[in-house]
Amino acid sequence: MIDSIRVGAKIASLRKTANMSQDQLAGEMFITRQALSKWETGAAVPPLEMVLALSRILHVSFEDILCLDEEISVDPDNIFAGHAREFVITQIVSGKLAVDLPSVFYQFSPSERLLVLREIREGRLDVDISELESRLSLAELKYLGGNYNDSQKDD
Amino acid sequence: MILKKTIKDNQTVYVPVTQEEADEAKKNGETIIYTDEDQASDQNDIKEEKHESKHPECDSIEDDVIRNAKRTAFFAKRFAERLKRDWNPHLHKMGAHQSFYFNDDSNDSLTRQLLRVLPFMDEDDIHEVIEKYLSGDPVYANLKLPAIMPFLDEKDCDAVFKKAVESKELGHYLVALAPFVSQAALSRLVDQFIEGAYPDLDIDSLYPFLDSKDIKRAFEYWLKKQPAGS
Repeated sequence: MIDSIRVGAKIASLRKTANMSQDQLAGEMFITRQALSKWETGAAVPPLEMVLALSRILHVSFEDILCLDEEISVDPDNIFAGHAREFVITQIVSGKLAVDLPSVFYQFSPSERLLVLREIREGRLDVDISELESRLSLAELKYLGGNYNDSQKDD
Repeated sequence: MILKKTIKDNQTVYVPVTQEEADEAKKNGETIIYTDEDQASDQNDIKEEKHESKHPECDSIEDDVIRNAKRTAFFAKRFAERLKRDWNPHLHKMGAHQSFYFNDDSNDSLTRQLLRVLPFMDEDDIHEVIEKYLSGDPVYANLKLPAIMPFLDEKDCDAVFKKAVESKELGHYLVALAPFVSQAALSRLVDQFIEGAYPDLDIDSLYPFLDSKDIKRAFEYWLKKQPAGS
């Protein structure tokens, strides 16, 4: 998964290190300055062809530009600061990013909450349910609880 | 004492005047000096009284309350108008095909009805709905997939995603479905893409969701595909 915000920051930093303005870099890549600006702000991710062009002009590997294999750390008070939301959610859901779920749960949007709850329900995310349940809506509790009732029936 | 500035024999002199004369001189823009501070403050008080008297309706607290209420009502009305005008403009700009899971024009659409009950549905029942959708049941043809994806188990998510990849009509759903799909399914898709199974697949839109290894593989494949020397 690509962190578009971090990739954008990396492109901007590499461009500044190369002493280039947005206009200059965009000119060399035959794209508009606005397109480059979108990448740098994380609003979009450059297509593969453009990643290759960037790595050629800025003299770095595409892994560097796309921040692949880099460690991620988040601020518990705002886990999405400096990162793309989808990236953070994917990292949490896949278990690659460890956070105290009950204490950061309020920061998720309704659909993100459901994504996380699905992983908990499927038993792929480990969380203290007693800590979390007071933060859930009735529908979320029911959604989460269904599985527990089923497992109790099985027992 | 009140002094008025006048010029006599090319010399500036201050002559004492009465209150009435001072008022008249002030109206004409002439300079008046109050030697007594109390007198000056009295003049300021008179000024304030005159200023306040321009708004006679504000003389009492009740009038203040009325004025504030009128102002609040005005801003509330303006806010309501703006809200009505500006609400969801970005969603409309996104186009109908992309705003599918944010708003739905038909109030009683199947997706809307399903969303109300999905949190309370049994896993098997949800699976049955998805199976009907995948088998092409016309009842479920217009189901808004991204809205229901959070409620599906991993296998169903992967199956729905596979159908979207294979169907051109659902191609625009891919990016919205990708966050719910397992990494294994995405990895399989990259395998098939490299094997040439989906030549029309827009891998650029999907690579933000791929695992690092899959991105590298897709990138290497893309490099190999480029004509030599380019």
